[in-house]
Amino acid sequence: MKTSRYIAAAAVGALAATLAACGGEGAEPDDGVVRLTFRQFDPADQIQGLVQAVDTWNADNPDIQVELETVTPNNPQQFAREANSGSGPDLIHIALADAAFLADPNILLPLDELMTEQPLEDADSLLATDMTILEETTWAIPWTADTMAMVYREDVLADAGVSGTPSDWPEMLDVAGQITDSSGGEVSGFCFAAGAQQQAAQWFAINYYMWNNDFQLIENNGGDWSVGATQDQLAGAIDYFNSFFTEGITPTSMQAITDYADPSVAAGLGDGTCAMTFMPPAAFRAVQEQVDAELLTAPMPGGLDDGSTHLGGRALGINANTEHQDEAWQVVQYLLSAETFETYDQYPASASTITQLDVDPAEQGFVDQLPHSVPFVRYIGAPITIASLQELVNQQFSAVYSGQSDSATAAQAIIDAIERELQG
Amino acid sequence: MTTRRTSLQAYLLSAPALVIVALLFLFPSIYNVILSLQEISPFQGPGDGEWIGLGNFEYVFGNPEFWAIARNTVFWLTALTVLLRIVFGLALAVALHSPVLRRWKVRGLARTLVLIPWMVPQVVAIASWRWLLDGSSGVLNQVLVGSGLTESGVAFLAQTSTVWWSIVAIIVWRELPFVVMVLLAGLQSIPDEQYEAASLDGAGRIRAFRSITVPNLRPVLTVVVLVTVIQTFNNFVYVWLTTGGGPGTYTAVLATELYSMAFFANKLGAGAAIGLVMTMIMAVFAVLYMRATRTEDQ
Amino acid sequence: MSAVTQQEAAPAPSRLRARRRDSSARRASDLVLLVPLAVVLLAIIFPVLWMVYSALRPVQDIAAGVSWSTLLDNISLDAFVRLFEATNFEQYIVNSLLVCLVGTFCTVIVASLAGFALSRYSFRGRGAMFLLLVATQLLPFVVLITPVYLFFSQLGLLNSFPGIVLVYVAMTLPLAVLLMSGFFNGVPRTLDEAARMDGASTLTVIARVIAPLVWPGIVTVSVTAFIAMWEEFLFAQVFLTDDSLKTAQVGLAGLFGEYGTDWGVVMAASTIAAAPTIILFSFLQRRLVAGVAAGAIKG
Repeated sequence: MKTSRYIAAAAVGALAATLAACGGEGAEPDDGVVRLTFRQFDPADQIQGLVQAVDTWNADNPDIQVELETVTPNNPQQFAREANSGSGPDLIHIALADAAFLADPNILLPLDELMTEQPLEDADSLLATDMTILEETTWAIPWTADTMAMVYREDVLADAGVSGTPSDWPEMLDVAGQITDSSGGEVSGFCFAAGAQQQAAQWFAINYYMWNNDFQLIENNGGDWSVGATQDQLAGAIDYFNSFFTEGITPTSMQAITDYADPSVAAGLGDGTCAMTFMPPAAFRAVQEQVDAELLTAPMPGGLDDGSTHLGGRALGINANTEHQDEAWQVVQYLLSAETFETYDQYPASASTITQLDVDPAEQGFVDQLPHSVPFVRYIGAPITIASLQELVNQQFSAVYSGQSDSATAAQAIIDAIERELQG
Repeated sequence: MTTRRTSLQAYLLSAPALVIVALLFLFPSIYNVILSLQEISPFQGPGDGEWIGLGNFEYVFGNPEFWAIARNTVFWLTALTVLLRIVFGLALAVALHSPVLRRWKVRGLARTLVLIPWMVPQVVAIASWRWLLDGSSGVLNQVLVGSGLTESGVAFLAQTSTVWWSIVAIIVWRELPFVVMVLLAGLQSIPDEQYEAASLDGAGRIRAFRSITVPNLRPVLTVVVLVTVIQTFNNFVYVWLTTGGGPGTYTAVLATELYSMAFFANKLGAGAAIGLVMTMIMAVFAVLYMRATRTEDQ
Repeated sequence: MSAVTQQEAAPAPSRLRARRRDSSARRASDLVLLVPLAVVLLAIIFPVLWMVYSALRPVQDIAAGVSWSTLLDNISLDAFVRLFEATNFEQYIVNSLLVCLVGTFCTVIVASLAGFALSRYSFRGRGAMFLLLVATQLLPFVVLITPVYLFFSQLGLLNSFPGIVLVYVAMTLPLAVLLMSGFFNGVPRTLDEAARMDGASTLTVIARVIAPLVWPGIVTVSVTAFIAMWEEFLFAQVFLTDDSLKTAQVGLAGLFGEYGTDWGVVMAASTIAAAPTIILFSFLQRRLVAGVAAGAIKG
């Protein structure tokens, strides 16, 4: 039978190739060169600058060769699984919020000794170290920083007679409403990804709103965690965000959206049917490339008040199982240096270098806001994870938008669920 | 042939399959049972869990939404999509088997086209559909609004009245080719003599379908139903990537619950407990189903 | 052998002649089937066409709405260029093909043997085996990852093709066995009993007598297994972290960023990821028809 012969031939060929590939791998050559693997999790098309920086290092340091390994999306559990079984990359890229989970001597190497032996150049000006230093042990070094800023179409705002972005949340609702009204409902004054998904971007805006109004989801009273908001406060926040839908400012379709850079958000910014939204820097750059119109950034409502926005970012850690601690540390120092950021298109997580940055004027909103942003440290170490809080909040807010629940019920559901976790 | 010798032969023939299955499924399943009795996070090593008896099960059943989620899983995600797949799949398979297609020389083309959705990776299928269904710029809404059928775009994935149907459409679209293909293979294995004999007896097409096609397809159909039910019941990708369980928790299913429990709440044990509950539900289904189909066969 | 079967099974030239004679039989009533079928098929492939189309639109236009008058303006291969610049996607496709072809071959062989056993023998433990196979499908896959990872790290099978092939064979085997036994059940036992009378061994019976009759079934199982392997992501991502070993799905997932996505590149990658399977199976599908005809001659 002919088909079978084809399949068999293909399979035999493939099998031979597999075996050849496996045989080819073999052991590492013993030539005195230290080979380190650095795993990062940003998509390949966003890290060309980093690839360049690593290439420069490899050219300058023939004895310490770094191989960049990309494993996306971010998967700290994968790294934990590898480290716990004694393997994994030498250097690891960590989302700031995940550092606490990986802070375990079986997974990450405590860095304090290396830091005393070969100190970092500007260790004092590092941002967000409260996310990486836990119980007086340094588990990772903050590397890059970001936050969410308003992204807007200046011309669309001007058409509605609005001269600047709103400075606080009540003004936000007024201004967005004014833009929508003056366009006869064509333009959405504020569009945001309001999905129920765990990753939905509304989580950030919701927290910014809460923090700016002096409450938060949970609070730590000396190791004793409790709900940090009353039912009224939460219901108020839900009503606030829901009014963008009830007043027709934000299209209902936004309730199905997760990403900041969802094609429909980009489309809205592109054709002017969305006047304002919010994004982190990487998403902003991606959308900038996708639309012809000129986009600007500004601080979020209340974004210039200290502690009203979040400081996100990435840290660098060293695998507890690495055989080359010192070399890995040298690479960490290089990655933190200004030299890396000459090619790597990210904001460094260092107060001293960030102020000297030469940024695109369109990104000024991020730069203005960053000094006032604080990391998510207020939710770290609780019996409920940030990821669970995020899922819970997005779900309950979404339930109100879609009419399955009212704000008081949803607020109570959030409180009940948090209490269930805090007691459990 | 003695029974003992034939049994030995059967064991030898099954051995490679059994070894592989035992190696990769048995050990992990036992491990899963152990996990379900422990409090352990995905960041801990395998031996670091703390034994907590049935605490994870109490926790899982203590969730006020558990029964709503289980109902979604059984009805919307599984029963409805499997039923639609079987109905449409059978219709398409019979149509594609028809001599009409050969007369018009489009049989090969039609069969290839039917399989195409299956060639698209699930992740991509979902991304494409979400973009098609987008509430403002999606093609479907542009057509609906453009033709005056609706005044403004329908936010298919954001409103409770349409969201489940949208997910069902995506699942049926992507998984239909499997059913069509298996049934078509089944149809092709039916010896033509049977139809011939029936037509000599003066049986019409409908009677031939009922007395020849359906009984001959039954063994394959039995397996298809069993397998699609189980696979769909356990699938988390469709709901997860389409709505994440929203709006609110309206489309949450057990598999997404398991995932967020294990990987967002870091409760690997509770996730394993949900996994075990799901396994039990499907085990009960499989046993009842196999018993029902076996008596039918006899 | 009956007239109809011979007509079905006739070698190509005479069948062509028969078809030519038949073509006069194209009837208006055929349209009752053909027209609705064409509509359904069009609806079925539309999302895929749209995916390919999106890959060909310039990045500024993907986000913008569709305007029917300028539908085909500015079509370009830019997204594909960006894809190949940013990633080793061609390598990922080759890796996927390799893993899936080897895996499918192993699955089909092992499944045929076990499926035959389930179909033809009533041995002690048959029911248990059937249950075991179904039971493997019951477990949600995510819970298998950690234990299998530990197991493989002991055996040194991480970051290797044999390791992932083993996972994929195990993953597709239960369904393949169940399907094969279903197809074997459709073949009358009298056939293999007759062959045995002639002194054929069990393996010969499977390979020479039964397999040709269930060709469509074997192709179905191959396609099913291949596609399940082709689109598997979870295990591939966990077990293959080395860039030179990654599969197409892992490469694809890498294009969905936490902060924004280049939709043109995603659609381009999807188009490329779907292309090998579509080509492979259009080819197999034509063979499949031939296989049935040939099988009928022998039968």
